Amino acid sequence: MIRLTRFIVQNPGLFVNGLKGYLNQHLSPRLYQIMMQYLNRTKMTAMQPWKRFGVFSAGFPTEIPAAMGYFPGYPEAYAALTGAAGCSVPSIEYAESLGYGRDLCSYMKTSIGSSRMGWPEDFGGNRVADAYFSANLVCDTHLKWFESEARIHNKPHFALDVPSFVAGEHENRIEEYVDYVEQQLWDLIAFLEKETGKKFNEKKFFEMVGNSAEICRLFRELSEYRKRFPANRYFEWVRTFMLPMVSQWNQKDAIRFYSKHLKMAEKRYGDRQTIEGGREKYRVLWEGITLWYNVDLYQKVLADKGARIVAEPYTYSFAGRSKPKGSLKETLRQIARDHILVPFTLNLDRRIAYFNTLIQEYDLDGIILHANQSCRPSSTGQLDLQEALQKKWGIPVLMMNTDHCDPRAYAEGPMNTRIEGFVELMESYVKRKA
Amino acid sequence: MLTVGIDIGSITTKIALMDKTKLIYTDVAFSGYDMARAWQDIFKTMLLKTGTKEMDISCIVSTGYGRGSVGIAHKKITEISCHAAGAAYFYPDVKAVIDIGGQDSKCITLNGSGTVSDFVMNDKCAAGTGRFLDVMARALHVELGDFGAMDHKSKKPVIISSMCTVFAESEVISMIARGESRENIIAGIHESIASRMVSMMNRIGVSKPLVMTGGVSRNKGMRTAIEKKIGLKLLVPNEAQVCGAIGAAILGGA
Repeated sequence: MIRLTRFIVQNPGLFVNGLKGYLNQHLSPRLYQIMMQYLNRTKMTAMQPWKRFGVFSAGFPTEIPAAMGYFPGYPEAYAALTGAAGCSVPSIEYAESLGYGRDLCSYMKTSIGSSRMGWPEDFGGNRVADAYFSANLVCDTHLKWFESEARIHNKPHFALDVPSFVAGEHENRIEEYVDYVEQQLWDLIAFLEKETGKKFNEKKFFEMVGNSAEICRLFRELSEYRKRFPANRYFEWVRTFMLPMVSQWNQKDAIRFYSKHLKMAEKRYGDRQTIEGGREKYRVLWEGITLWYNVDLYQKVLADKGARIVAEPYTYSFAGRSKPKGSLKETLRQIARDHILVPFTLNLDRRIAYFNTLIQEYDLDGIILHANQSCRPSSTGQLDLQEALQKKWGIPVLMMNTDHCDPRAYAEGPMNTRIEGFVELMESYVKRKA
Repeated sequence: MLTVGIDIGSITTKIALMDKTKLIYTDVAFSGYDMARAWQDIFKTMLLKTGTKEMDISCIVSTGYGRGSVGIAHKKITEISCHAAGAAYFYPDVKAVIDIGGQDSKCITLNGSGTVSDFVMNDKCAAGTGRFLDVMARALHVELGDFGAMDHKSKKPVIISSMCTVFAESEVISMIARGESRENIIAGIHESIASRMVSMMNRIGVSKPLVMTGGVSRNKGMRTAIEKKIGLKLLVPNEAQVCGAIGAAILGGA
């Protein structure tokens, strides 16, 4: 609270803008409450020195450290919320003034800039953790970012190295990679036992993995309703709706939250494929991280033209956790497997096959590929993906050159022309499909 | 049936009046600061010069970056579709269009019926656009209209290595300081833009007949540089600069 109060006093204009930005999000009061509860719990760890606070990169198997009492903090989630609030630019510029380059990850720069300025988590800041946990499965920046944060604060860092299953490799190679990641998970357990001075809490671990799998199952089931007409939820909603699944801090509450939404969806649709309102004019897939600072792109610019984002591998990628197996070893192997094959990081061959399935299952009329300026790994292969999909389906594909958390990379005028051109292409495509 | 197309670009505003498929009138004026004023002036001039009454016009279509500012427009269509329709008006079997405008450059592919099948535009960067040429003309103290003739006199085009307008300008200034001839620098600038255009064309896969539209198409040096790099002849209608407005007028009657 001290940091938030200080932030408000020092940046009253930014705070008001941030509030407006938060209120402009597609959030229900309950979701807003969950988000605030999570941020407040993170802040409270500072007042509870007996509780451990871990800082995690996206994709890290949080259940393992969480079973040992580490409360999970996510700098990327804080940065995303800051971007959504429309407050990321000062932090990014501050990080750039420290020497971080313009083409580096804007999550990282938001987090570093806000943290160095002493801003609270609501505005991208990140308190010093007891330990830092990074995994490179979705991002190469994580490793160096977390390593340097750990070094600066003189705290331990555990780096999980997840190999990429590249196109052309034999399927048998996956098992070798599972062996490799499993070994590191055992190392992680040893690391946690050393840090905490306690034996690994298997009971708690199995409970957390079970809950995690249930959260993901509910999220996946809810996603199935997005295949119906009209889709149950659009991207502007799902991008914040996934927060309880991503943050993993209060699993039972997340299960209750998603169960309630699933029941609502079941009631709304029943067995019907099409309900009142019917099919959207244009059903679109979004590939890549969302533009956090630009919710209006989804709920106004695209929506006004009848184009709605009904699928995005990005959100679905967080929903891949499996149920625990009979033994600790088998469960760790399953976690390793789940982390190697993630929709967001599939190799080109698998990605093309995956998209071919999505085009049919979601009855898509267009695809937007976010060529992310500060996340080149996630943009790699998009031209090949575009070519393959257009060749097979003739489906319109729009490549958007912009950034997930840095609004300076988004030029409204030129972007609107591209979007309108894309919508005109979808109009022809839908006519041809019919 | 009279239709009007108004294309408001970042540098110029263009207008075209059509009677069904017959082109009656075209005009070009600077967009300036006030886009609304730009289209109103050019529209009034058109009415005056052609003796047309506003009530006789069945459809007005606006296009270009300022399309949203044309309050009287019945439709707003992107310049992508309009340039394609304009090019197809002059060359009905056109397969691809390249348009280098003031603010962006684009490659458009068309299907058999003259409608857009795909397009690609430059990234958020002025390099490879008409604005880029403007900046270079200022740096070289040369009128943009003389670029074509000067390019023709070039003996050895320089290599412009920078992909950014600002850096390229610095590069050009250092070349001037080194004593490099303006002709060679201009030819190098054309080749640099042509390289960017050809990358875009290769991305989308263009084939002939290939039409060039937009104001930059008047620059012969630019056309030659692109033709040399892509290995295809460019078709350029006399009204290339107003192709977007013509296409808009055509789509207004569709």
